[in-house]
Amino acid sequence: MLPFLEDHGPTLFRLIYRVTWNEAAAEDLMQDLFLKLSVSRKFRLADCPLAYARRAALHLAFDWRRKRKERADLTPARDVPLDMRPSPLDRLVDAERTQAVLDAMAVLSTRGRELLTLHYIQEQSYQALAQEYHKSPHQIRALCHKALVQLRKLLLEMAHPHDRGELP
Amino acid sequence: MKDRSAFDTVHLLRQLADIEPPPDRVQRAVERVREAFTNRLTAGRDATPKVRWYSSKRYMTVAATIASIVLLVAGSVCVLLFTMFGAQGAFAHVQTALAQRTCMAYSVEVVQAPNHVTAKSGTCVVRLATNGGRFESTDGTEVQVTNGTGTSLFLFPLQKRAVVWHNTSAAGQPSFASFLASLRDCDPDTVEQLTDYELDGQAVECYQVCPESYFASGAGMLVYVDPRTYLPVRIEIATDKFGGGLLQIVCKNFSFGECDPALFSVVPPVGYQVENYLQVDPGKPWVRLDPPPPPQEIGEVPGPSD
Repeated sequence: MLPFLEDHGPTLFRLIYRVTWNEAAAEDLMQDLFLKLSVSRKFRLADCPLAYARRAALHLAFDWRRKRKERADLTPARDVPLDMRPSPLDRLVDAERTQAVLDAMAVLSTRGRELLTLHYIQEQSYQALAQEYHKSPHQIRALCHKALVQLRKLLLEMAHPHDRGELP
Repeated sequence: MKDRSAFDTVHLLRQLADIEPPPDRVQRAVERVREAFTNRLTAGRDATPKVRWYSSKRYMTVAATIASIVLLVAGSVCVLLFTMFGAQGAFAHVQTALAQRTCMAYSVEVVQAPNHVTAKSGTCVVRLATNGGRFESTDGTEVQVTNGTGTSLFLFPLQKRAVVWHNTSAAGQPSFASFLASLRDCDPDTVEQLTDYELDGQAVECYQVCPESYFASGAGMLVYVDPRTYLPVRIEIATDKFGGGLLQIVCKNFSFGECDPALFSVVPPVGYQVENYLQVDPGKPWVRLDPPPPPQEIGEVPGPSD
């Protein structure tokens, strides 16, 4: 387990952090993740332990988002490129929107949020995901599209009535 | 949020890919997990030595304790499996494999030891049926034998010296008898199966013994099992209960088969100077049964009757 931690720990921590936006929570979840992996038979028998660990990390991170009671830290990470911070107001709006997206993903289907996270946030190609999920790239593309449609629908439902055009 | 242009979901998701946690937090998170794993292995109660180690008698007590730990750990793995888990535990296959074994041998390597603790590497033979054990140090200076009934023999070949320890009460002492009795009362949940590991390219199963269990006695303990034969291939022990640092012992090169019962004889060999010690109560000191004659003063003049 320790070699796995050395090799893939930073990657998994980044993944958790990108979903939680909370350094302290990410650290806690990282520890939970490895303790669970260390006693997991499925992880031990997995063809690709990293893929299994990544899915487990996503599950923990989105689970945390669903259960958290306090708002996550909205402050963008320190090393976000400056061109992504046009103004404090835009930054805040973007942060709120991103939080909304992540919150909606937390209630998305497990596979849907995994695919969206791995493809768009972790920037994994359809080919790589196809191998991981034992499907064709075309199927993965279709599943991603379907998850995206579901996500937008969820966002619309979660939006303020004014944003939905229900209020004048 | 009414349409795609109003709320570009993909764009926001892609933005997340550029977010990086502070580098120090990444390292800190990894370090924290590593520390958690290390603590699981070495978790033990702090204890400071209550005796000084210059006394040979006390030294032998410590040596006996260390040797007993080594013997108990490896020699009682099978008993742990038999008594704690039954057929329902993850060790069921291992129990079955060990049930037909009468003897096992393995080498003991002391990886690390506190300065005040003398722990030697060597080889061990354990007779599972009687809980007899024999340890021979690699440097040939020490042989320890226990017959499993409370009597232990320490041989020092270089000095031609033999010390026999008689334990009339095994309670509280590192004897196999008390150990086995307590094991039967152990909580079955004190062993946890960890993920598989590889040893020399061979996949093995790994089990961790809870440090708080009587079996581990505060030591961190990992038992590696060959998934094909279901027999132990390696046991790692780490404890800081002796104080002054970590004592780490690795038992490896396990082999199973028959062994000569004479190996576990606690009768001192001919030609050795023998000392016998008895301990009636674990809380009381060892008493020498055959006190040596008082040393003759130098220059003493024989009396007229001589």
